Amino acid sequence: MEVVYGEKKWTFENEMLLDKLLQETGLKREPVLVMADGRLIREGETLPRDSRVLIINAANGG
Amino acid sequence: MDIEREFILEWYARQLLVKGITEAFQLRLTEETFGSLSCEFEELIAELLIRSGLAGITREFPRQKILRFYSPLIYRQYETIQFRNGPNLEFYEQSGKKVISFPHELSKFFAPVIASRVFLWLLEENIENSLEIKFPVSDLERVRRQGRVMVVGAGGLGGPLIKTLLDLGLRDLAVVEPGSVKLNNLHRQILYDYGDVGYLKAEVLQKKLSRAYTSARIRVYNSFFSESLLRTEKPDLVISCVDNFSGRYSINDACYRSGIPYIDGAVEEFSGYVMYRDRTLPCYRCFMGDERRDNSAPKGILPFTSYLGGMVQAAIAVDFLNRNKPYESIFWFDLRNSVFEELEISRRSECEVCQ
Repeated sequence: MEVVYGEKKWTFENEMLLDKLLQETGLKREPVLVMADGRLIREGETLPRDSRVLIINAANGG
Repeated sequence: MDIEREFILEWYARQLLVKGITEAFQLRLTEETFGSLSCEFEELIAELLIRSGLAGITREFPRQKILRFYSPLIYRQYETIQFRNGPNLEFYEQSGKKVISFPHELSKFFAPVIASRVFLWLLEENIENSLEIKFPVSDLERVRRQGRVMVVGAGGLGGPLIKTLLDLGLRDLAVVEPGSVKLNNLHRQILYDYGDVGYLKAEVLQKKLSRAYTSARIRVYNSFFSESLLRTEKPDLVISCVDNFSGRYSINDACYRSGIPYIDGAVEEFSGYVMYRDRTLPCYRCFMGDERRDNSAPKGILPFTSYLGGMVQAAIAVDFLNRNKPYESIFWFDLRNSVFEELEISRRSECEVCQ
């Protein structure tokens, strides 16, 4: 799966639990949301192997 | 010069929190100078760049139209930046000037996109030249079916949102805003001028908006949002432009309880989202979860980011009023990396607000 967060990119070969992905990318403590093929992924869910993953900031400014 | 330098750095304090923007870059921007401009589209791009710190103008610049807010920082210099009409977005240097060519018939949504790319070019970052972007609504249109709209928060998002709604013909508007104008608001909060610093935003807005939009009925509340305001105002649509999670939870919960549709938007640095919500759709808590907590640390923000967010909120609002056919996705944008996405969320089984 291709993972994009801003200008950073990663490639992973296998499906992965959300928590594991956040650990692998070093974003575990960051206020982010994870989208796979445009759909929000929640805690406990698995990201499919061939998905296009976009990690976004939980923006809050007005 | 030291006093001037300190003044500029305070003015752009929130922009200087954005990754990659240094004091040296911000001061260097003041040397970039606009000359004559050929149309409103160019003027809006120039305004957004001037708000970002490009501080020079020549004698030919249409300053009276767009620069009233800016008088303390304007320099008279030789033109360094030129806009031209062309089929593609292109950046090049010619005869010592920076030239930006772009199609002038694009919808207004593209003005902040082009401004952001000029800014990134000046920042010497990689830029995307493609302008194939799908926005939630193809273009801004006039309000044909009036409704009562409540805007909560009149800052970086609320400013362009309120101006766009009233320019498009909205005639019934309530604004809820408890803050006062600060110097470091001005680069992105387009409804306030240098002379407004220190005054309550609600007082400034009531005076300015009532004077500028005489056919509209405008009420401005100098208060935080509360559910009782929904009972007082009975809006057809609420638009959230606040800058904290607790405010967003509060607006979300109150609107779902009352059955009032609402539009939320949030921005940070180069990115942000806009979404329409009503009882038929998963709510803000299904998107962000219940556990987000505010901290007091200010966040970096750029004027073209909040302008795009506010303008897209306005476009979705007018589309809702005119057609009653809501945009059901979440529109996410990242101007630095040129990402524009439609996102989908599902209801959380444990959500106590929308389940």
